[in-house]
Amino acid sequence: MSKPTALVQGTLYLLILKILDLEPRTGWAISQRLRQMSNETLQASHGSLYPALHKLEHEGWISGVWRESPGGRPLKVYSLTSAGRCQLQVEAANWTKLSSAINGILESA
Amino acid sequence: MRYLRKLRLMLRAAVRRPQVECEMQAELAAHLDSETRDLMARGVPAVDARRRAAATMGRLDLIQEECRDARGVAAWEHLKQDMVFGVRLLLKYRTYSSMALLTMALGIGSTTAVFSVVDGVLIRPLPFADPDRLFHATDLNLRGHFDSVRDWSRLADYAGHLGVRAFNTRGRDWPERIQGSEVSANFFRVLGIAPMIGRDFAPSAERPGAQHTVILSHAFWEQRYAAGRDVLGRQLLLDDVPFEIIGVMPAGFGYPAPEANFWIPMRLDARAIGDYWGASAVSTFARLRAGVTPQAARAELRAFTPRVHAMFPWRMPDSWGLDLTLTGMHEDLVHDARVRSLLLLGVVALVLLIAIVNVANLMIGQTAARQSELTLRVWLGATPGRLARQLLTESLLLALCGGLLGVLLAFGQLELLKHWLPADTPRLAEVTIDLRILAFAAVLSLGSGLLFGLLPAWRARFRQSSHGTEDLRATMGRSGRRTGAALVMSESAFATILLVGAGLLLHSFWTLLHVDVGFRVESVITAELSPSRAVAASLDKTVALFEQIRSKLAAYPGVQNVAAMNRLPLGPDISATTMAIEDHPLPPQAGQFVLWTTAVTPESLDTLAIRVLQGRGFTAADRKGAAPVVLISRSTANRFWPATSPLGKRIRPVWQGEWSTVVGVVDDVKSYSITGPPDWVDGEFYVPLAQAAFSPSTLALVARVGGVPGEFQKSLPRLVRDVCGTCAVNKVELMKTEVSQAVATPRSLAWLVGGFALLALGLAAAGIYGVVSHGVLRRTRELGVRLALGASPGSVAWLVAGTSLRYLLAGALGGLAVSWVLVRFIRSLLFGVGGHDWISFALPPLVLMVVALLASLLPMLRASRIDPARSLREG
Repeated sequence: MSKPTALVQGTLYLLILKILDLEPRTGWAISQRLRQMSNETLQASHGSLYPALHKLEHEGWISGVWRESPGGRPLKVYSLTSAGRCQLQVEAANWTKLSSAINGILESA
Repeated sequence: MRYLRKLRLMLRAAVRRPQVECEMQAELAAHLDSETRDLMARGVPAVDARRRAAATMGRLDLIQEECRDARGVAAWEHLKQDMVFGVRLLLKYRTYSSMALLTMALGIGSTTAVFSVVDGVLIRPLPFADPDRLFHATDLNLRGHFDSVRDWSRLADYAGHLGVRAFNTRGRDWPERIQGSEVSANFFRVLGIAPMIGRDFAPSAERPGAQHTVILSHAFWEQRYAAGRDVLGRQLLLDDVPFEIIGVMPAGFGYPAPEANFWIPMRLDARAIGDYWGASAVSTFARLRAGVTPQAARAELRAFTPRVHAMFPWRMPDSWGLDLTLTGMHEDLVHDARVRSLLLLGVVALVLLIAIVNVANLMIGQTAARQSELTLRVWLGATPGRLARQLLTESLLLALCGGLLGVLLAFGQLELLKHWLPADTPRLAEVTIDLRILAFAAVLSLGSGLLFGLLPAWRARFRQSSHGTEDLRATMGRSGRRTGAALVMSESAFATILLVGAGLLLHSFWTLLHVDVGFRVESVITAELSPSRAVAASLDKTVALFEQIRSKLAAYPGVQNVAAMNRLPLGPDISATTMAIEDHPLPPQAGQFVLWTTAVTPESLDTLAIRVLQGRGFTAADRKGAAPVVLISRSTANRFWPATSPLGKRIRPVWQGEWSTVVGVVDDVKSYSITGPPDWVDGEFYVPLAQAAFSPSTLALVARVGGVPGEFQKSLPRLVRDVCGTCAVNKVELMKTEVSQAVATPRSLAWLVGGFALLALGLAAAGIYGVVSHGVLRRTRELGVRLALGASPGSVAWLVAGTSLRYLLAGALGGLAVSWVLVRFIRSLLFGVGGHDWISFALPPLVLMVVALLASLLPMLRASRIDPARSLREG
């Protein structure tokens, strides 16, 4: 199954939102950026990226617009909406809380 | 905002599906393209690059499916699939779907029809401007009092009417009676409604000497004047007085009663003292001025009392007029119809609940029958949620179809209800099924669908979680039995509550029917005689006219007695007089004595077989000018002269100087109502018609006829007209019919509730049949084993029914306990029956048991005939 576990799914949303916070990108560009930023550790299956993108678009956190590429091909470019910006803050805060909690457990145990 | 956007996206995904699909594919293709180019740029050969790019992507079809899920497309797809599947199921299992649809339609239809009545009677605001500021002034009903208060008040505008009464008018051949209302000149202005054509009454129209004017109702205008515009200025003859038509009210206006064909100004003449200060006639209402609270208006009203007190031509008790109060006009209009409508709503709600339980039961049986299909779905990978959603969609579909049928049924049921509901139900004519009611029906259907769909859906999940692949029958057995028990118990509890209610009302009605009214009912014919005004205005002429009519009627073969009274016993008119009673001075705080008054001709007591207990009855010698005499009833004699003989004692109306002597005591009669005299009455007396204080505008003729009364009944109007061509004759009826009119309201209520209880009983029987036969089906193998081991067919049959009957009894006991509490809500509707009447509480469980046994007979028979060998082989 290409469906990632719940934890990864949530993180994937966070990462996509974070990447789009810098500038609008296509799905492929997001996947490239994901690979680069995490030093190739986070090699999310490209397949699971698109359902996530569509989900985020459906929630209204990102919006996709069709644009002409320099080569003349139509590309769907995603950008963060204002609601998405709020969501990013919420998810980032959640993540910080969660990771520090896990770190705490790992260090004390 | 976000939800709107989301909905727009979902709608776009559903409606513009091809485009959305195409975009998705283009996007994925673009990704593959970019990835391939990237790999090629890093030196990977073209063929390899494309393959590797595809490999990083995973399975395209799965991704696309997940994208659709993410966009909410799938939900639409599934809904469509489930709907189509649901419709196919309904069409395939005809017996099941027609049973379920019919049950739902009955439940939703009844509830919708009754709710439309409750809405029209209780919820919808009165059709007047600012109805919240309209209040009814209780006990403000003397013309003099009303006239003064209206003049003085600074906080509210007072108006009044005298109810609705009949007037003589010229018919095609004979005088006709038409109903109209006498109202104060400002009546329409205070209600906030104006004539549709023509003008309103002049403010002086109610004063003596004013020109006679009349305003017509819309219906009367259409029916009698063919809705002609030229009607203004024409004359309408009412009690021989010509009234000029000055206006027509808009359609639908029918206050104080929908029977009102026209409105004329009431007379306010301070010189007619008896009329102005002695007759409780006016119903007064008030419109509070802007910013005035009801409390302030009431305080003002009570503050006027001492001034009015001083204006009376005779001394009124000190307590008079101190407890005047204002009640909301809507509340006042609705009064006891509230309890009745809510009772009916409760009744149909129970019917609906039973219907829902039945359909839930049907659906569970259905899901059991579809086990193999459902198991297959699980095998093919349907998730529990998906399965539950499918079942829920099916039940909602069923509920909506049932609701649709129910609404169609409701239109018919509403017509029946309007016919069957007590005729005195206010605003019944206004009741319709409109968009609001339809919305109510839709919500009700969906709610019911959720209720009866959740149970099977939840059970589907439950079964799934305990592994669909295991022996399903094993898991079904336990939970199936438990659900069956719950269904039987709730059904029997609901049915019991209904049966108790119906039993109480029917028992109360039965008691009413068997009350001894105290006068002769059999072979008595009654008629309403309305002489022309010229005659009716003079008591002498009225008495003389009656003498003529009496000799004419008495000559008819078979007629034994003919008499006349100012009103029929149990008739609708109020006839009471404020009396002074000898030896009974009033303490200053006490209220006046009010005595029920009947003016009769001497033959009346004989005709109606009212017994004279002491002294004598009336004779022809008790005429005008002779010594005034009265008869009193037994209970009146006991109340005022318990120790001494009342004969020779004297009473008089408070405004009259002359005393009348009591010459006899007659037996008690139900004059006012079958349930007894009203609480504001202190006693009852009879006065000879010839010596009556007022000349009655109509006379009630009563004739005792031997043999078949039908012939005489038909000839009576002709016989009267032979003597009096200007007399209107109406309501020629058997006294039996008149008396049964007096119990019309309890009768229709008892029949309505009884009818719904019967419907509920039928539904419950169908439900119990379903549960028991389902149980037999489920336990075929077990029963087969029992039979094989030597159990008798009878004991097996009993085993099947016994369990259900035990649950039934438990449910019935629960229902009785709830009824015990609920009874207080309908106690005001009961007569002669205690709220906790043992018959009404003992019978329902018995009836239910018998009906349940009958319903179980067929499945019991089936159980006893199970072939052990076959059941074991097949099971």
